[in-house]
Amino acid sequence: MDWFTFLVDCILPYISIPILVVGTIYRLWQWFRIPLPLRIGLSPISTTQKGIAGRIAAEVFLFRTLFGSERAFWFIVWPFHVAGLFTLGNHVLGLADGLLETYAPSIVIPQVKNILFVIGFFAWLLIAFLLYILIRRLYQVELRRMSFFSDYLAVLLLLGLVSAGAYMAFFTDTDMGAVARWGTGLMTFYPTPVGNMIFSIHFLFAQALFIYFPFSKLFHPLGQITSRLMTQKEELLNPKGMVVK
Amino acid sequence: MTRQEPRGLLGGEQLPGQELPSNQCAEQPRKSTNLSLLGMESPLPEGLRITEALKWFHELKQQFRSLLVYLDLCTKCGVCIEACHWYLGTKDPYNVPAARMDLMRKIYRNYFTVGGKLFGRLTGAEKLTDEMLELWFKYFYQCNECRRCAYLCPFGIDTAEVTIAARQILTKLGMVPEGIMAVAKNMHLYGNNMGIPPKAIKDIVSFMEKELKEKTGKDILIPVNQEGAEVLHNPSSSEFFVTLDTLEGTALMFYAAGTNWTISTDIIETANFGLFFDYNTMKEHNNRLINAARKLRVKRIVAGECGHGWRTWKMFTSRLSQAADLPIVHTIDECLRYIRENRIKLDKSANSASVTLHDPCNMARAAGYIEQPRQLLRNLVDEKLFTETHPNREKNFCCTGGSGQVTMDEFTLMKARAGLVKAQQIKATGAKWVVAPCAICKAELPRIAQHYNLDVEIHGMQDLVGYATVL
Repeated sequence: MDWFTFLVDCILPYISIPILVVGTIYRLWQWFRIPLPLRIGLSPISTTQKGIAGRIAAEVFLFRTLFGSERAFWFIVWPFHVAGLFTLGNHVLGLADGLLETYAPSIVIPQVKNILFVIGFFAWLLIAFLLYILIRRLYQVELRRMSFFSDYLAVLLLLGLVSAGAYMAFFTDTDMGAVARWGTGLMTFYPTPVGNMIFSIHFLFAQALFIYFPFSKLFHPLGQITSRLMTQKEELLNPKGMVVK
Repeated sequence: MTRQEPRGLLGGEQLPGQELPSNQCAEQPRKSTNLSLLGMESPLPEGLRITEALKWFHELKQQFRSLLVYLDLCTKCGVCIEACHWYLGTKDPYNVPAARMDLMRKIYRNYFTVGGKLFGRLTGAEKLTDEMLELWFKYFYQCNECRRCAYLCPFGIDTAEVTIAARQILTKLGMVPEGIMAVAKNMHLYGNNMGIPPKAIKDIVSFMEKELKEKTGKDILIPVNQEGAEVLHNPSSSEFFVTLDTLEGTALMFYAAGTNWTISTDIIETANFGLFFDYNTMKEHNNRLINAARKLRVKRIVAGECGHGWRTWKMFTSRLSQAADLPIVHTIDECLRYIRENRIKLDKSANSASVTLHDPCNMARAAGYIEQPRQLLRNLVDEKLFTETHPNREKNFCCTGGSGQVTMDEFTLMKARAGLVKAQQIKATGAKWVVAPCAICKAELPRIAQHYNLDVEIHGMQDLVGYATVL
């Protein structure tokens, strides 16, 4: 299966990552090129720049509205996103640690391994949350009625991603140094495969999500900001006024 | 399919009018056949509707970022399910805000997104059919555009924007409810929704002046078409027929404050039904008010009680009529100013009934009028007599008359069903008076009260101002 790891580790990233970047910019451009002719304020409306920034930050980082409208669900959703963020951060930390180990072993901080280990457990939390979200969608009648395959796909992809990652971290002995070397190789356009099947499966899920992200409901963090800007900020309106046909 | 009877939302109390015949689900607004106002002779025949609808869909999504973003954004999290009074009252799955939007989103995905074109039904994409257009007509006219779901949505997705767009498209196909069309026609011909000609306005005004003279013994005038007045007051036409106390209250307020004011026979309507079906009509109404104000050379406009009307004047005028220089003030603000400046004296003991406040959707959620009505009410009623509904403020439920449904009498039973939550809310407060600073709420709430045997009177805010004003 060498061809599989080579394809996933060394070829596909040059397709999936540009799709992620260009796709994200394209989607935002698609939204922001369209005018917004009327003031569609939605309470509470801030009038100062600071107020608007604060309100949007509260929405993006604290899910303020959800806290007010369905608090029980907030206690699932917010910790889920935070756990996801920490897990992502852990990847950066792990890669940095792996790089140091390979290229400058003298300055490796031993305690970092402990942090990596502890935050690693968040993966199980993520799996639990994802399963809950999936079961909720299947269990609640009205929610199931209005869900399409694409509504399940995002959760299934994430479940695959996290399960493979957790399996790799807890049940296999993955050489983080090799992963770090592959990462630098990827950035300098001389990639060498990690040569680890389970890593490739994990990374395949990640790339599927890279490609899927701009064109799916996973785009909602950027949608959140766009949506709140529309109901808060008047300056973003089309200055020419509305064209009525 | 068996329909589950709605459980009482608030404390589980079942109200007497709640058991309704099941066949009422077939009720829907009657379509208008006289479309001359739109420049159409008749509704488009079935064969031509699809291409025309898609053409206008494309046009609208090129013009309104809100529509595009809200069609793209939903994650189907389900928070909106319990937000909609239409769903709570009817338990119809299409009345879940996200599902209602899906009626349009399916078409959007099929014709305008790459995912929908490639993967079709997996993304929920569906071809536009005549049956779908009928579903649009049915369910987008079951939406009150109250934006409660938008307020509760974690992403602020505004169903009303989608509802408005769908109705614009339906209008282009000639599918407009009779009630809304009739109102728009009256507005076009007479400058008010009830179709009162100028001569009748003057008659009613002199009758009201006589009534005020009898009540107070003073010559309180309602000036008509008086050039150079300081204020142009734009009441609702229902204040000339049904809720006379509102306009009389306003007259008393202006008299006590010594303001030089007038009404214009060109427009005595704060409601702007254009918002509900046609942007052209909305713009025409808006310009009508601005032109009337310019003609009479007034310094500012004081808008009367109407929720969505206030939203249109406050939020849209600067864009629609490019009239940012002409201040538009709400009667509530005007009255609060008089109180601040000690220009009027109010006697709380005149309003001795227990009171609750209904927040008109468009005032609370769209225009941010939440504390102002409460502040004024504290000046009008003793604090002990006032009870808040639950939920209140931005989370308050709609009266079910919003978005033009107030005009659809053929739709009464369905509306009563959707009004269940409102009835429970009002009943739980135990108040005798419901104060609703909105002409549409004032027309719809009595129907709900009657249907559910609630022992309440519905009043406008200005009614109470009138009762309490000391001359």
